[in-house]
Amino acid sequence: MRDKIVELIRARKEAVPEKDFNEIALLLFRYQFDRNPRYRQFCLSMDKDPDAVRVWEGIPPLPVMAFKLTEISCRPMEKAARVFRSSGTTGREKSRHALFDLDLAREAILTHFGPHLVPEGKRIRMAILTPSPEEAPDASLSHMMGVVRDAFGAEGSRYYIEKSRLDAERLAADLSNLREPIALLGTSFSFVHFLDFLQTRTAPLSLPGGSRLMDTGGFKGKSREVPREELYRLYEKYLGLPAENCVNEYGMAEMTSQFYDGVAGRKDPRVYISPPQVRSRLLDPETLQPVRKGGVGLLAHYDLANIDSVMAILTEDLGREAAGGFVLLGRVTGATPKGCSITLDELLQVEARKK
Amino acid sequence: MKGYYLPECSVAEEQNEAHGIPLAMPLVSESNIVEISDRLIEVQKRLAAESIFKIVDWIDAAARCWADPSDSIRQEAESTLPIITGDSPEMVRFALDDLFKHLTRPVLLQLLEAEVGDPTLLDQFRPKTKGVGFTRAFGPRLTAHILPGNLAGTAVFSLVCGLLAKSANLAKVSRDAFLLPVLFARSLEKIRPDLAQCLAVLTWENSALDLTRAVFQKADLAIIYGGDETIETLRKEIPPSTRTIFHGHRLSLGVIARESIDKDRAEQAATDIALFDQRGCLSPHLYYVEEGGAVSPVEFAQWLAQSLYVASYQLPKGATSSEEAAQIQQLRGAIPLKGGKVFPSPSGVDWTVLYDPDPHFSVSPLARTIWIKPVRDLSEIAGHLELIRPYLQAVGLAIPQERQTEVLLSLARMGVNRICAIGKMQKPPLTWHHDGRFRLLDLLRFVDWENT
Repeated sequence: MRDKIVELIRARKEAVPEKDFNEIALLLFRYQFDRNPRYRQFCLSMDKDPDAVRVWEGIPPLPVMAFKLTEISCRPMEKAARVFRSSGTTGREKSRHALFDLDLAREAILTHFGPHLVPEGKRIRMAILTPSPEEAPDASLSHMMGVVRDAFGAEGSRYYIEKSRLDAERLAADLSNLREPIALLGTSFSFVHFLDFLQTRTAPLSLPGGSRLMDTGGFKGKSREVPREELYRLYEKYLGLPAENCVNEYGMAEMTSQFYDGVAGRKDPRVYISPPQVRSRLLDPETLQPVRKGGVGLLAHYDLANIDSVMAILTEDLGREAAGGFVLLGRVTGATPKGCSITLDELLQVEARKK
Repeated sequence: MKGYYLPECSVAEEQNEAHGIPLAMPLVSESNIVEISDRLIEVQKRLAAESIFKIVDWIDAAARCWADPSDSIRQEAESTLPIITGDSPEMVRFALDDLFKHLTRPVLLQLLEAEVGDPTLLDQFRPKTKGVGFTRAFGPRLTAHILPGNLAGTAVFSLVCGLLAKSANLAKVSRDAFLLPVLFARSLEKIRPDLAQCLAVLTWENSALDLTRAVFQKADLAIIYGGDETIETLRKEIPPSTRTIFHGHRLSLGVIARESIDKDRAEQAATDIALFDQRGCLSPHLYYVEEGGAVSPVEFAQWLAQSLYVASYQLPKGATSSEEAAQIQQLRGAIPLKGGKVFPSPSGVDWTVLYDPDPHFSVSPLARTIWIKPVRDLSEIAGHLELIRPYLQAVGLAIPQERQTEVLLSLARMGVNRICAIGKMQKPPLTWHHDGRFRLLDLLRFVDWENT
């Protein structure tokens, strides 16, 4: 099964017939149902088992919150190669996702990152606005950055966050007077901090042509909120990067694969495209039934690279179907309730202030 | 329909539409705000010269119109509020009856007496009951209200307190909750057009801080409803000379002793949860249910789900946002995996009872989602509330008389400011100390005249 999944990851998406995806998905469902006691419990509560499911859409997606509340794994977590913890925005507990097969994860990361961020296939110098994998071994994003740096990073690539602090001065200094294009990779809120730093300087930077940027994640509490369009305007103004060179990554600590909404340097409509090993569905938030074509729904991802946890995940993200993929309509995580209430985020901040 | 109320001044309008209803929304500039505020301050002199009893009569007359099903404004409210707010028509009718029942002459006089003592202190200098000389109460010339988007009744109530203080009122309402305050102002205008001129109900983006700042600069008092983030932002915009009253977001809960678990309690709890679809600061997020009785907390959870089913017919739920539904689905799927149980509505997300053995306080995503958490003994509860201490509002109690004193005291010390029976959580008397404060007295300034 693992080999078939690797084969799928390496394939071109158009070359993967529904039949093949379905076959592997059902095999994996049986494996996860047998090995993952919590997931089995969940499936049984939904009245689903491998004998009753014939198509991958019938595999019940586990709410992502489950990763926060309990151990979701097919193998003992203490034997994992890595255990990633999410930033824990909505609960007291952080979510945990164990990775046992680093090679497979590496394949999943690179085969999709490559065509979107380094379509030329050549190594490129990287400025990475996350902590290094050594400093943050439990951050899935840092792990991913480590993998792409090893595979595509040219000499001079480095991390610019140390001890949770962005070294904006050093980054600005390294980015001025560059001759070769550079790839800036990091979280959206780190970029906002960097842009705020650049605004206080007199001369904006002008990165060499062919430079690119990949941002990811939301802002909640980490910096001021900046709408997407405004962010692209600021990238252009302060870094000299046109919007078509900026790609957004959408991923989650509980998944092994990622989505990208564009190819660096190409002016395509922004749509998140799933890699061949992932299929996504849009479900009505009230009934969890598939939405009508073009309707808004909760995203459920089926990531075959998630071999040792659960492949079918119900997210808290709303999306709408778009040509060949989906557009993201915002993360529900940390949304303010409509009533007179506070979010758990706010509660946690109160707790933090008191400590 | 005009989505704002502004007598004797005009502002630019934006033609808008909400769920098929054409709306003219105001486009205010900073100079508009200055002009409107000055005008309100001017008109306030007339209000200040009125007797407090006349003002009470005026509000009473409007409230009586609202209680009349054939009144045109009441009818307009009944037909448009459900469309604009997403509440069910039954809920709107309940909310209107409940609100205006509290704004009649006897109830308003009760409030004045409870808080000010002698209402005529608002009209003239009166001998001090203790000490020498005379005293008289004055309200702010202009009160700025930043009103909440969750419950329109709160907004109307804030304006009424402003009027009882003989203050002119400039209210910024939220884009979803503008309708009731606007209609209320129009109903006052029908009765006393000259006095209604001391009201302005407007709306603008929260991000337009320059407008909000301009109001704060003109007002003597600012009353602000909102979450932590709103309060943190607005606090910086208020000049030191402007007094402020903040009403932050609050959390409420229920407590049921082992002797008191029964089906009636489940029905009463369902009423507290269903009313206003849990959007109020008095809406329960959670019930602590004591173990060791004839009925277990899990059984209570099941009864509660049945009662919510009944309540869904009596008081149908309003629209649920995708965000709320998404969070409810996450909890429904995940809670059983950590040893909890879920009792959901048979279809959709009409209601959800989440039984969770973890006694830590959990915040509900609202929209009729309720936590049931068992405790071994009632004395444990106060400890579980430590984290939400600054946010505590009301507790609904079902505890036998002989055990009440101890529990009551520990909850009161924790910060709770209203303790009532289960089933009464959404029906506070007008004299309730909202957020633990006086509702009218806090608006007033007292002048002492030592006539010796």
